[in-house]
Amino acid sequence: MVSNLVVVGTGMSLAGQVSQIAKSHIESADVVFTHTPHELTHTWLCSLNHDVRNLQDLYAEGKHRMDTYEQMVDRMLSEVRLGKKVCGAFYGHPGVFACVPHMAVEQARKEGFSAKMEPGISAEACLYADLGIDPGNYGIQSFEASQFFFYDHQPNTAGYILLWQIGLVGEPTGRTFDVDSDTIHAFQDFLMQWYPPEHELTLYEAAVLPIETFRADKVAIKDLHKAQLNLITTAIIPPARKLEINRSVFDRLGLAVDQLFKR
Amino acid sequence: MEASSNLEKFLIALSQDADLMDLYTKNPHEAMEKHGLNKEEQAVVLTGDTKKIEKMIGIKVDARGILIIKIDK
Repeated sequence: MVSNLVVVGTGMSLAGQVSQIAKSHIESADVVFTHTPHELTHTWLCSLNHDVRNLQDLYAEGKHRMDTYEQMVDRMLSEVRLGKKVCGAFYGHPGVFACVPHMAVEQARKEGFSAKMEPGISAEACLYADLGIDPGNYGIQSFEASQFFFYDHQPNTAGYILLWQIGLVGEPTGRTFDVDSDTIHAFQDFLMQWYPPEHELTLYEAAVLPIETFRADKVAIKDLHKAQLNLITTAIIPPARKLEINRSVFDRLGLAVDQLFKR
Repeated sequence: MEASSNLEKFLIALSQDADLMDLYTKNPHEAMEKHGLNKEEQAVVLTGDTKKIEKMIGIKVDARGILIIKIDK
């Protein structure tokens, strides 16, 4: 079945991380809606399709972000309803920490249209490559920073913790992109329930332009309030304790601990 | 809004072309000369200062994207 709506990821890097099938969807669409981290990415997309429309103009200070997101979905769906082949091109992975592509696919299907998502290279994928972290080594938990703060999540301190959008942590209104220093202080105190004050986290930002390098600034949790936290900053908290053997599993399986992965 | 300047075209090409990136790493002036960048553009690229580069291209610095995250459940 031909899809009326396809949402694709363009990756984090300017124009070099898009998959062949995603690029093909962009090229063959009647209209492309974009949300990308850099105007040059938009410029590159315009070289692939003659009708590329930016969704970023829908953001406004003081406007609730859910209103913005619903308008983004409506903009895309209004073209689908006209019978056009629509592509939504979102930076990174369109389905990772991004609600609009999910909402658009869901709404299109609800209205009886065919819709699908093609994956892209996410900031998390870049992070593993740039920082040399393998999620298989100790395990990883990944949270949107405000959700981690506001809800009763429990971090596994033997693994890595990724906190996305830390520049907006504790922002309760959904209407602004500013967070005051008191809130950051409260968040660092919150983290110190589980981690020592001197425990260093990494503030990461993937590179967008090819002449840029990624950001990987280390900061002690007690000094988080002094750090530059941007909208695209992700905090990575490394393990604070060693992995512990679950002896009950070994007992249940009749195995000796020293037999584990013995060469 | 297709890439209008050599600088825009160069940056887009650099993000897609491993050979060009190798050349840029070894000899940035040669890589930029091949794409027609003038001396002023070359000097700005070599600063590595993205804000200066964005200003030269005419990009609004605050255009960097915002993660679209739904936190309201």
